[in-house]
Amino acid sequence: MALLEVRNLTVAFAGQPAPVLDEVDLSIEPRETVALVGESGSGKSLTALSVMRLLPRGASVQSGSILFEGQDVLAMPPRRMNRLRGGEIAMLFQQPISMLDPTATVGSQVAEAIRLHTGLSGKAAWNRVVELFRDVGIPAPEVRARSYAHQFSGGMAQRVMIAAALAGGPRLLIADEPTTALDVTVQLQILQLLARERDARGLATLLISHDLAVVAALADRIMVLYAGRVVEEGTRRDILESPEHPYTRALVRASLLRAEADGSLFTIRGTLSRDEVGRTGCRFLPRCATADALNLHATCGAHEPERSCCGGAHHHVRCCASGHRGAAAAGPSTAVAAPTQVATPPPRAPIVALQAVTKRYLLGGGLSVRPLDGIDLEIREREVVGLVGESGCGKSTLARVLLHMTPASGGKITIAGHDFARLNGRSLPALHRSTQLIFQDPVAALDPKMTLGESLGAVLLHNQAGGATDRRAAIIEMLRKVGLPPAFYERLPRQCSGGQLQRAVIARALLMRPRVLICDEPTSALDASICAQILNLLRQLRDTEDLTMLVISHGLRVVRHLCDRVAVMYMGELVEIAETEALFRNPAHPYTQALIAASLLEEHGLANRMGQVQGEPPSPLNPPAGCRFHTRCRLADDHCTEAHPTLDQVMGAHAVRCWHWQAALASAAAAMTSAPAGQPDHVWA
Amino acid sequence: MAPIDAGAAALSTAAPSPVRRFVGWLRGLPPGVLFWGALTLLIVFCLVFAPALAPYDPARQNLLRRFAEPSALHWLGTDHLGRDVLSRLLYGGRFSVSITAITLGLSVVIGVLVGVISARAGGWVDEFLMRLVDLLISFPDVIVALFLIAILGPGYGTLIVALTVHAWTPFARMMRGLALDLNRRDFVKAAEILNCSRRFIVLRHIIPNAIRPITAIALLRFGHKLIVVGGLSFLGLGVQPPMSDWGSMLAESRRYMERAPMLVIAPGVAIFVTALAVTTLGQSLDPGNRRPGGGSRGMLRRRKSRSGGREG
Repeated sequence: MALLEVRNLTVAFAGQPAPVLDEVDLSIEPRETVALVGESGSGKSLTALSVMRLLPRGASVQSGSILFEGQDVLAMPPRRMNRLRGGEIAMLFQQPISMLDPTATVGSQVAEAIRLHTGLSGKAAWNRVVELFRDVGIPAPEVRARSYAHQFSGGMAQRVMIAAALAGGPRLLIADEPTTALDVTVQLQILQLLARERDARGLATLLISHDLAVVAALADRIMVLYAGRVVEEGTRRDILESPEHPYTRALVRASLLRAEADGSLFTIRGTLSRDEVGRTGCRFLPRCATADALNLHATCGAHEPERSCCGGAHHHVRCCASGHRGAAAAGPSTAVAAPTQVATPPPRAPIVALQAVTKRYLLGGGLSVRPLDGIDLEIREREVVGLVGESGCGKSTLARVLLHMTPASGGKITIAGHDFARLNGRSLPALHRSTQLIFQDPVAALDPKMTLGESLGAVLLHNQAGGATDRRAAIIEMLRKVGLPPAFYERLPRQCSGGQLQRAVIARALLMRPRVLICDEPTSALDASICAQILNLLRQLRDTEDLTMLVISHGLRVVRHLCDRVAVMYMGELVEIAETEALFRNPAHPYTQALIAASLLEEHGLANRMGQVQGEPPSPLNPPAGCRFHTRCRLADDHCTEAHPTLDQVMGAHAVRCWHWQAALASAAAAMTSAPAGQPDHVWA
Repeated sequence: MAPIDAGAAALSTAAPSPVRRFVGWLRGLPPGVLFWGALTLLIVFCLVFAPALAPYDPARQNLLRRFAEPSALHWLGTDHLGRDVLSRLLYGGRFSVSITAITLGLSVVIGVLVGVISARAGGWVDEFLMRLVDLLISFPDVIVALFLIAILGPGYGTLIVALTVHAWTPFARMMRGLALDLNRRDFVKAAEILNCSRRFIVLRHIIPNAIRPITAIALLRFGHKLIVVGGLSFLGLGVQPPMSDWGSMLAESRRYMERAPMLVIAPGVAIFVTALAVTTLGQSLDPGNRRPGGGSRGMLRRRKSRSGGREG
C-alpha cells in the first residue's frame, strides 16, 4: 500500500471558477522520494499544503481524496490532524529563519516538538534535541541548542528545521524548496544531509522544487506540474533522459543553461500565466514549440490531452503530440558552452580598473570587518566578467563601492575615466551615467506605486532634456529593445511577472546609456525558464549596446554562459581569476573546485569527487590567519595556517591564490577522468 | 530569493473605462471600508449641508417650548432654552468635526515633513527633531492644550493651534520610521543612482509609499481627538455661546439630565458614532491590520488562525 495516496485532488480559490490544482494524482511508497517540479504558480506548493491541510485562506479542496497509510486525511478530526502534522508527516520550508520563533532558543522549540510527538519531556527531551542536532551536523550541539534563531545562518537554521522535522519520527517528509534560499555550497551540504537522513531513517520524501538539478540529485520519481495539471510523470531517468512532454523537454533543456549552436541559451517562450488554468485544450499550447512545428494548434486547442502511457511502466504524459520528439529539438544542442568569440578578440583598453581596493567598517569596540580586502581587478571594454562567491564574501559590497553608494576605504578605482579619488557630489551624476546597476530582485527595485512608464520616465526627466512626448517615445523604444511591448508603459509592477520586471529594470538602467553595467545576481529571483531569457537578453545587449559588464552571482551556473572571465571571491579577497573556459576546465583553487561541484549539480550529483567545502565561512570579524580558506580546505597544511598566499599568475591569464594549486589541479583532473560508472553524470540529455 | 510569481502576469491589455475601474477599485477594498466609509461620508454630508438640513436656527430660543419631548416638530426635542436639539447637533458637529479634521490634517502635514526631513537628513538634524518630539510627547495632550488656551484665550483658531502643537508628534515619528525603511528599499537606491533629484525621491517615492499607513493612523486618532475637542468645549474652552458644539451641549445639559435625557444622549451618541465610524474606517484601511488573503479581521480571529499555522 502506498504511504501517501492523493487521488483526483482539485483545489480552487473562492471566487475563481477555474481550479488551481486540477485532478492531481500522486502516490508515494514508503522510502520513496517523489519530486514535484514546476514553475512558480504551477501549484506545487498547494499540493503539499493540501496534504497538511494548511491551504491558505480562500483555497479549498473541491474534490478528490488524500489517504495517508489508508486513512482519509481530509476527514481527520483536528486532534488527529495535529498528531499527523509534525508527527507522521513533517514539513520543511524555504525560509528556515522565519519558521523559528525569535524569542525562544532553538533547542526549546525542537524540544517542544519532541514533547508533543514522543511524550519525552524535561532532561530526556533536551538530550534528544542535542542528539538530533548532532545528527544533522550542527557543531557544538549542546551550546547551539541554547542559541536563538538570529544567531544562525540560513544553512544552520535549515539544519535546525530538519532536526525539528525529524523530532516527531516522521514517515513522510515534505520538503518545499528546502535549499532555494541557500548558497550553492550550503545547498549541496543540505541535500547530502537530507539524502543521508532519508536513507538512515527510511523516510519517504515529497520534494518540491523549481530546480531540476536539485530534484535530479534526490528523487526516485519526478512529476512535472504545469498550471495545476500533472503533465508528465516518470522515474528520474524517464524524465531527465527521455522526457516526452514538450514542456518537460524544454524545462530540462532550459535548466542546463548551456549554449545552443548560435551561442544563445535555450528558452521557453512566454511565462506561465494564471489565465492558463481554466483554458480548454492543452494548457501549455501558447508556449509549445512542438505544436508550432507540427502545426497542431487546432487539435491541441480543441480538447485537453488524456494521460497516456509511454515507454516505462511508470512513465505517463499528457500530450497529444507525444511521440513527435524530434520536432522540439530543432536546433541541435551542444553539450559544452560554445564560446561565441572563437577568434581572439583584439586587446582592448581597460574601462574598469581596481587597485588594492579595500572597504572597512568599524563596528566599535576596536572591531572592524573588511568585506573588501585588497581587490585588484581590470575589466576591458566590452568584456563580461563574472564575480562569484558565497553570500557575505563581499561581492555585493564591491558593486556598491563601484557605484559609489558607499565610499571605498582605500585603494584606487577608475571607471570609464572617472577617478574615484576626484569624485565629488557634482561629478557623481556623470559616474552614474556611465555605470549602472541591475538589481537582484526586480520587484523591490521598482516603486510599486508607479507605472513602468513613470519609473522609466523619471530617469529621462533627471538626465536629459526633452519634452514628455520625446520621453515617451524613447521609453517605448527602450522597452522594445528589452523585449517588452509598448502596453507595458502603462502597467504597474504588480501586473507584471518577475521576468518582465527584470526586463524593465534593465531598460531603466540602459536609458542612462551606460558603458558599464553591474548586474547583482540578475537572475537569482527568477524561475529557470525565465533565467535563460534574461541571460540571453544581457548577452544580446552587450553586443548591441557596447556594454561592459560585471556579473555578480553566488553560483557558477549563471556566469558560465555569460562571462568571458570569472573571478572567484572568498572573504573579501579574489582567490582565482581566469577565462571562463579555463576556469571550468582547470579550476586551480580548492574553493573554486567546490563551487563548481556545488553549482553544477546536474554534472556532479551529490557525490563528492571534486572536493567539497565543509561548513560555512568563518566569522568576518576574525578572519583566519594565513590562507583565509584553510579552515575549510581539504589540502590545508601547517604552512597554510601561517602564510597568506598571494594572487599569482600561474598559466597565462589564470591567477590563483593558493599554496597548493598544483596539487589541487592534479586532484581535480584525476577526479574528472575517474568518474565511476553509474553516477548520474550524463543522465541529462 | 524566492522565485517570483510568474502567475501574476498578463492582465488584460485593454484599458477599462474609468467607471469600471472605480467599481473595480471599490470592490477591491476591504469589506469594512465600504460601510464605515459610507457612514463617515454621510456624517460629513449632514454637517456640510447643516444650514439646508437643519429645521430651525440653532440659536433661536423659544422659552415656551422648553424641554419639549421628541416629536414631529422637534425630532430630538428642545433644550432648556427651547432651542431645537437636532439643529444644534447639526451645527455643533460642524465645529467639533471641522476642528478635529483640520487639526489632524495639519498634524499629518507637519508630521510627514518633519519625519521625512529627519529620516533623510540624519545626523544632528534628526537628533534635534526627534528629541523635540520626545519632549512634546512626554506631556499629555490635554495639558498642553489647556496651557496654550490659557495663554491665547479660547476660540476656533486657538483650539486648532493648541491641539496641533502636540498632535503632529506621532506622525513625525511614524513617518521617520517609514522613510528610513523606504530609504533602504532598492527602488529608492535605484532612484539615487539614476540621478533622480532628492525632491523627486521624497515626493514621488517616499511619501506616496508611506501615506497609506499614515492616513490609517490619522483616522485611528480621529476619535480620540474628537473626544478631546468635546472635552475642552465641555470645560468652556471651545466655542462660545450662543454657538453650539457637541462638547458644550453635553456640558450645558448635564444639569437637566434627569428631566430631559435626550439632551445628553444626542450629543453623546453623535460623538460616539462619529468617532467609531472614522476610527473603524482607519482600522480597516490599516495595512498592518490586514492579511494578504482578504479584508480586515478582528484580532481574535487572527490569533486563532496563526496559532494553528505552523508545525515543526
